[in-house]
Amino acid sequence: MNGREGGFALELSGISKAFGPVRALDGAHLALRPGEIHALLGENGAGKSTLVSIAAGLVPPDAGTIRLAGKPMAFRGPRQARRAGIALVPQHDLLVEAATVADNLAFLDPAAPFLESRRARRERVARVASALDLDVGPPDARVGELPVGTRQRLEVAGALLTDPSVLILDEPTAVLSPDETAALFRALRARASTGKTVLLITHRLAEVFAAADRLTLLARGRTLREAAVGETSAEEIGALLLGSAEATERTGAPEREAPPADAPPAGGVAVDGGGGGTGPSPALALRALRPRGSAAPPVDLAVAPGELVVLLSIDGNGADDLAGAAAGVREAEGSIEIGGRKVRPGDPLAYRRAGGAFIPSDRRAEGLLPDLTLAENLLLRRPPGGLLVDRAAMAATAADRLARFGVRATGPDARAGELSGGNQQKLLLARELEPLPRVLTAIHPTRGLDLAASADVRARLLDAAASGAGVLVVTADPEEAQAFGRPIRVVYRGRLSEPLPSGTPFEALGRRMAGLAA
Amino acid sequence: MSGFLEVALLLSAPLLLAAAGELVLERSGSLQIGLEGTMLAGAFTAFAAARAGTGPYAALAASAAVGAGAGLLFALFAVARRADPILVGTVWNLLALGATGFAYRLLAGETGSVLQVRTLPADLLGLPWPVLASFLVPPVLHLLLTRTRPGLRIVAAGEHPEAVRAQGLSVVAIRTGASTLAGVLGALGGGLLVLTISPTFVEGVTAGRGFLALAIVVFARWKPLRLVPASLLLGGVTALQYRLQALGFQAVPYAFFLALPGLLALAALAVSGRGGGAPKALGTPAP
Repeated sequence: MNGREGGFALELSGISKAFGPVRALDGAHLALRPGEIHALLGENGAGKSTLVSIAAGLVPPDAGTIRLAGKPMAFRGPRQARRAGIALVPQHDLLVEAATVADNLAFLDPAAPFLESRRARRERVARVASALDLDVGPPDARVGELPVGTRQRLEVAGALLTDPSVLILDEPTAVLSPDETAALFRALRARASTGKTVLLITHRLAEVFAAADRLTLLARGRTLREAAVGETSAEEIGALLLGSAEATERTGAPEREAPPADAPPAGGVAVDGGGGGTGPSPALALRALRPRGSAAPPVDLAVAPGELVVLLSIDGNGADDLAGAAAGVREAEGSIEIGGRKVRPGDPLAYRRAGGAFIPSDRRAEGLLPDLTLAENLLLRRPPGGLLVDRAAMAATAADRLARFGVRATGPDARAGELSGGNQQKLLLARELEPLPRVLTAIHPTRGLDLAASADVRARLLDAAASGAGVLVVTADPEEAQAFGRPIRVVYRGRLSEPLPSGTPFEALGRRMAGLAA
Repeated sequence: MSGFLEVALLLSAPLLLAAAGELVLERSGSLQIGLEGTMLAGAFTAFAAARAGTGPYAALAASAAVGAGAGLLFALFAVARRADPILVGTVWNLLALGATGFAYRLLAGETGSVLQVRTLPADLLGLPWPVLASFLVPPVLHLLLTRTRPGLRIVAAGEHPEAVRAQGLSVVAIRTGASTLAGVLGALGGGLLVLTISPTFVEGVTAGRGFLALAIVVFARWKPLRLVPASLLLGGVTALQYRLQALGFQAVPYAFFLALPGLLALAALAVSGRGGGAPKALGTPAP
């Protein structure tokens, strides 16, 4: 909290910002030293993204000061911030998929000339790739065809074109493999060692303690802790994060108590998921299933009632496609059975009719209708049969379900799009898990959620399994896979490993994900 | 046959100009289905200016000026104020049809006599140079979209407007610029029509060419260079239709020939319908 080692590269102090009635930031403080990698931590909705948006000139603060190398700044827009030396790589990449790598870099380069030859644009790609030692893909490749890791590096390269004194990365590793993450951190470390500053938003504490020099922890719009990484521990920060999240939870919605009549008793039926689902009638059975367009061999997989199976893979290895095929949202060849009943592949309605529920990876685009109310979203899985909707009854049952699933919102009439990521996911769970489905397929159910919300989602999925549903979960995060405490099957290039115990060491999982171990 | 080629080029040029402008606007993420109205406004302006005694080149310039205004007006409603572009375009079509018809009657009175205007003189190959210059517009636009900074921004605005905003650029400004260019080119197309092949004005003189130009953009899959063959094809079929009518071809009713360009456009759309190429954010409001 002090500048004892001389000036800060960037210091934001007393920053407040409200969006309508919501106070996103309330006197937050963030100070970055030259030559450091600084981690910004906090639960979802703690104000991290708002704070970096203010630093990057995308959003003006209501109050507070921004000092860049000691000089007070008031940015009128992102171009001005960029010119001053602050570059932001947003969480969701802002690349033009239909354009080439070379054209995207030219677009991201404020110094690009008015007229530029194709060769000059190609040369920019080569220059950037060699200067940063990052593979940003072939110059003439369309960005839409590149893997997410490459796209992410391209975005970082675009931000670095102006050689900013402060580079801000908003959750850069969410979609990266352990190897790609390590390579990115090597590049960031090399940059920091030249005196430039890197600010990193992340949810992964392991990364913070492996790569960062100092950290700032935000909670409910305020700075809760600023420390050098050596002065603290993952345990302390983890506890602070969980604590702050739970505190918010308690002040927000009624505690989840007195489970409803049809809810499972906590830790109900103990099911050992090691068997691989060879019972007489598995909840979900995939036989020789191959998602259309996949080059991988057909897959056999069974999930017994009460069993939870974790598919762990780096994005692009086919786990998402396989789970999507199981849920009928992707065309596939082979056969799918739910509770012993054949279901036509590529038919999401048949999947649902047979008792299937689905949590897609993109909750905003595929899971929810952001412009409809929470109550209306809850109705989507089982629309009322009659001609007219009893809105009062609908609101009442919705309010009850929202409370039980811990969705923090102003009420059942709030729009789904207004909720934070964690609450949107809880809303989805409330819809998909009640009534209890025969099988639930969940793709990246905790992606982008904070620790508390992730833990809550995992508990709900385990509860559903304990109550007798078959649950298939896809994740890209080894820690997350371990946290389920259920057998893990690693997917590498469309092939499934045998079930691994959840206690398999992190490194061993990482090696399998990278295809280094059979 | 040289006569046929001349007529085909004369008929293609207005289509090409209008389609080229529309293509830039659509690549920026907006769309003006009232292109027919813009062409009509351009046609009437050229006619009125020429009747007022200006030369044909000045008449063409007047069309361009009115087109710029039409493009700005469209952008004011459909881009800046984020009104539904389909509704704005539809209203613009109806307004232009009614207003030009009304203004023509004020100008010509109820006499029913046909008022002629002086056409553009033929320069090269028996064609006025603006007609030939029209065929240079697609390569210029190709360069604009692929090699220049504004071009990158137009493409980004049509594909991923949020990315444009994150760069601190205004999607509204980019689309307004594209709309102005589309207005100028659309109105020039209309003006060229009056100043070359039909040297007079009648209500609805553009006869659906604005809609054909919309189809040409899709047929060309939003690629400027492909506008040339697409426009030549439809212009050529129109020329063929005139020729067949002139030859007194009686076996088929003449209405069929009138419908031929439209039928061809439909067929082309059916063939090229799949395969995409449309800007991803086409028709979405600016963030």
